[in-house]
Amino acid sequence: MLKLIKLELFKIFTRPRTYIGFGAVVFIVIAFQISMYFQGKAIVSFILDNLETTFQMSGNIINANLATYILLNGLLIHIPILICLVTGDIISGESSSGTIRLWLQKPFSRSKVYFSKVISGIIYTLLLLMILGLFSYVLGYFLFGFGDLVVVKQGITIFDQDDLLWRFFYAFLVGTISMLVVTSLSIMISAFATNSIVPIVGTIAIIIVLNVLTVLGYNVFEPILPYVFTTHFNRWQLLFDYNLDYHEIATTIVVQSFYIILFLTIGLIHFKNKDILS
Amino acid sequence: MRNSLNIFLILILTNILHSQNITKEELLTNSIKKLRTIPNYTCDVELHVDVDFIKIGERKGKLIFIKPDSIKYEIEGFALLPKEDPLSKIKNLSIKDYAIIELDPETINNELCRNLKIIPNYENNDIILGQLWIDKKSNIRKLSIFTKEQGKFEFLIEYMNYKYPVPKMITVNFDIKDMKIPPGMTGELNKFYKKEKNQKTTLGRIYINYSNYVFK
Repeated sequence: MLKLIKLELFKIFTRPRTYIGFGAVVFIVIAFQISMYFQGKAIVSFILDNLETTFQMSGNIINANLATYILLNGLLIHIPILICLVTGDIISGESSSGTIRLWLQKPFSRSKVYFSKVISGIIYTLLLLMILGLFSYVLGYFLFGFGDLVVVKQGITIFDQDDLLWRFFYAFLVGTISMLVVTSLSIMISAFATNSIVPIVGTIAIIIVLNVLTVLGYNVFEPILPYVFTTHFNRWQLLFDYNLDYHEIATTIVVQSFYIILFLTIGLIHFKNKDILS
Repeated sequence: MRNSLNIFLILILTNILHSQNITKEELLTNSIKKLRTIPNYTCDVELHVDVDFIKIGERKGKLIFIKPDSIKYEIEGFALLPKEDPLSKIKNLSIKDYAIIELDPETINNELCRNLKIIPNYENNDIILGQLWIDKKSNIRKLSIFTKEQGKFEFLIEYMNYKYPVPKMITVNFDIKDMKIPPGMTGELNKFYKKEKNQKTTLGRIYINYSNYVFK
């Protein structure tokens, strides 16, 4: 199994498209933090304008924590696309090139082959998120330093620097689960498809459609929205509530874990019965 | 024993009569003069902000006062501080620029205080209306001011038992408008389609405790 995973990782990291994701993340972080460096005060001032008439503010409001927090919002839009580029191709790429036939003739069970691809996809997703988080934090530290985090969400909450590391850790964990839903969805579609375009575009299309429905059809679809996985993509923000709603956090984790298991199971069933001769 | 009690009562009565006898202008002048005697100092401060839609823990730090009215806070982390310093505002008041009206005395923090209203004589004054409650020691116990730029502020002041009228605790009451933030900025996209309530005004409070004064 380990050998299979190594081989899958080798395949992933020898493809140029893998580095598009990493490059894009690095570019997004640099571009965002540079714009924050020059225009951060104006943006923050726009948001906190109401308070500035009443309060005198002291302390470093633009810091690595704020930069990382705002960048995490990118999970909702940018990161799923970058994940699909690699994980959407993970099975269908081999189907279209025909190498899947060679693979499945080897003395490995189809389940093992499938899970080695899933684990490699998960490792890629984790790496992408780790680079986003760590690079944002480190670059933010060098550009702005650390400081308390001002979160604008149903009012204003100010978190002490000492109270942030664990929140970021768990927020990344919840965010990672959201992105693993994307990974598993694209792998599932990849198991069905015979070319790479379908899973990549299909996954992105599903996410966009569900996001649009969430926003535009809020009134109509409100009862089912808690069970739609895209609704949970920004639930990592729950970790930045002053009083944590453990029930909501647990619900988010359960709903998303359910989708991960569902997508991977459907993918596995299809992959095990996949006709590779036609 | 009886004699000393009589002397004590006479002294208190004299003091009360004296404080009642001085004119409202003299009373305000005395308060201002007293505030101007405060030398440079540093002290420890603890701030607690109590506003409905702001959640922030207590902040601790140092306050550095340099005559005549420079106040600098050295506070760890991000802090919301009162924009107005009540005592500096009064210290810089020029009595001739205001009409003073005396109202009925009121008790503030168990201290009977004379109640003065000040109305500016000129339109370009930053203070639109002010009200001061001054005790018999000429200390301002309560201050309510309407300013052009910052709206209404009310300060309740408790003093240290020092030679100078430096505060032990100040409670700042103010009106603040509820925040209206575009949901796109908070990531709560579905909030667009929830009914938005009118931007209401709520009462905010800042409690500031002062301690460990070091006069220079």
